[in-house]
Amino acid sequence: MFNPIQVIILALFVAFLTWHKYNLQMFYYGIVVFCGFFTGLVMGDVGTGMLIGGTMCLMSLGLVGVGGSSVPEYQVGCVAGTAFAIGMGLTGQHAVTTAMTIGVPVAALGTQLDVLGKMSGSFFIHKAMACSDKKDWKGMGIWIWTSQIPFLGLWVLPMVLLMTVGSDYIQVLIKSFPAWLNSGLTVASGMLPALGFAILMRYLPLKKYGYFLLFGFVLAAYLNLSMLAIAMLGTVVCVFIFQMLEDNDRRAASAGTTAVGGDNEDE
Amino acid sequence: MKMNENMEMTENKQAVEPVILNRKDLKQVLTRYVLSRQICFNYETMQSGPWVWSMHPAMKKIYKDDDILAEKYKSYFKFFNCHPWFGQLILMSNLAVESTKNEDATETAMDVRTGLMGPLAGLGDAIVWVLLPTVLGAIAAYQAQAGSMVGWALAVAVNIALWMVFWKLAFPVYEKGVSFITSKSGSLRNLTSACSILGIMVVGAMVASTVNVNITYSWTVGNLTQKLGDLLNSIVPHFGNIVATAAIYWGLGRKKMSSSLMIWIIIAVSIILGALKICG
Repeated sequence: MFNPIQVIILALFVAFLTWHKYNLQMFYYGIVVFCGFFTGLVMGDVGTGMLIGGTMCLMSLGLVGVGGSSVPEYQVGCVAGTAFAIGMGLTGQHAVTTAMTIGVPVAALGTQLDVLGKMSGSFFIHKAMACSDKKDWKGMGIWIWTSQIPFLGLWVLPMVLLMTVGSDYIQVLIKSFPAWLNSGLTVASGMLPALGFAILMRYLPLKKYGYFLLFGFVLAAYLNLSMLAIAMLGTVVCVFIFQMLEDNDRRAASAGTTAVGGDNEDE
Repeated sequence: MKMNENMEMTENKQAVEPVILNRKDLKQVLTRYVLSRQICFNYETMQSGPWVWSMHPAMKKIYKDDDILAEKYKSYFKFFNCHPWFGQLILMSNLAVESTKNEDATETAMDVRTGLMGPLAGLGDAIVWVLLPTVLGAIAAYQAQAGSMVGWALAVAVNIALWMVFWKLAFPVYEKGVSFITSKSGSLRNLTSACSILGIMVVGAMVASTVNVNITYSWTVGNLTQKLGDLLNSIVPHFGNIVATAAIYWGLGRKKMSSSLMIWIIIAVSIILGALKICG
C-alpha cells in the first residue's frame, strides 16, 4: 500500500511538524490544511488530500495547548488519515470518513504521546544543568537538543509502524466497518469542531463579555456573513473597545494625578 | 591574558563597564531561540533549557568568566513558561539588564522575567494562538474543502508577517530595555481584553457556521410527517449546533475531563445518534 519512499517522506514530515509546532511556528496557521495537501501530493491525489485537510482543520480549530497543557494533535492525525484514505484508493465523502477513523484516534492518542514526551524532558534538563555546573557549555547544548530524539521518536516510530507492519490490518479493519459506524462518523465530523470552540469558551473571559457570543452568532446564523466579513467587523469592534479602554485609563490617570496633586509619572 | 584577569579583579570591586551587544550578537541569540524555543520541555522548569542555551553566546560576551556564568545560569535554569513569541522579547529585556553588569543584574532580570511571563503569555495566547489561527484556519479549511489553497496561503502569509514583527521587535526591546515593555503594560492589558472580545465574537459565529449537527429525527401523524430539526431550527437556526456546543462546554467543566477523553465521548455519542437516526 505504501512504498518505502512514501513512508520515509511522511515520517520525516511528521518529525518536522512535531518540531515546528513547538519551536519555529512560522507556518502554524491552517497547517492541518497543508498536512492534507502535502500528504495528498506524496500519495498522488492532491484533491482528496485537500478535502481531508480542510475537514480535519475545522476539527482542530481552537485546540491550543495553553500554558504547557496537551491537546489532541490533528496535524499528525491528518497525515495518517490522508495517507490511508488515498492509499486505499478512496475519494470524496468516503475518503473523509475513512481518514477520520484513523486520524481522529491518532489525534486523540497524541495527547498522551505529548505528555510522555514532556515527561522525558526532565531527564535531559537535569543533564544540561549538570553540564552547566561543570561549565561544559557544549555538553549543555548537546543534552538540550538530544531531548528531541525521544520527543520526535514518540511520533515518528508509531507512524512508521502504522504504515509498514500495521497497514494490512488497518485496511482489513476499515473494510469490516458496518454502515452504521460510517454514518456515526459523519455525524462526528460535524460535531468535533464544537470541541475546539467549547475549549476556547472555557479559556476566554465569558463571564465578563459572554454576550458577544450572541453578536457573532447573529452575524453568521441570521445574516449569513462569511467568516472573513465577520472577522473584519470584529476587528472594528475590537479597535473601538481598545480605544475606549485606553481613554478610560487615561482619564482615570489624569483624575488620579489632579486629586493627589500633579504627581507626574512617565506618561 | 594575565592583564585581563587583573583588570577583571579590580573591576569586580569598582563600578563595572557595561557591555553593549551589537545586532549580530542579538541575531545569534534570536536564531538560537526561534529554533529551540520549547525543546527539552519538562514539567519542572518548562521552557528554561533553550532559554539558557540561547542566551549563552551573549552572556559569554558580557561576562567572559565561566564561573560567573555557571552561577547565573543556576537562576536562569529555574521555571520559565510564557508564550514562546513573547518569550524572545523577555529574553531580550533580560539581556539588556545583564549588559549593565550591575552586581544584582541577574536578580533584577529574574524579577522582570517572572513579572512579565504571566501577562504576556495571556496576550500571546489570545492573539497569536487563539484569534488568528481560529479565523484564518477556518477560512483556509473552507477554501481547501472547495479545492483551493488560496485561503491557506493567506493564513501562512499572516503567520509569517506576524512572526517577522516579533523578530524585529526584539531589537528595540534590547535597546530601550525593560521600560519599553513595562511602559506599555496598561495598553497590553487593554489589548488583551479587546482581543478576547473579538475572540468571543468569532467563536459565536463559528458555532453557527463551522459546527454542523443536523437533527434528522422525524415522526408521522396520519399522512403528515413532522421533522424535529425543521421545527427546532424555526425557533433558533442551527439549534443542533448550539445544543452540542453547550453540552461539550458543560462536559469540559466536569472533574477529570480532558480534551482527548472528550473526543472519544463525542465519537461514541455521534455513533449512537447516527445509528438511531436522530442526527445525520
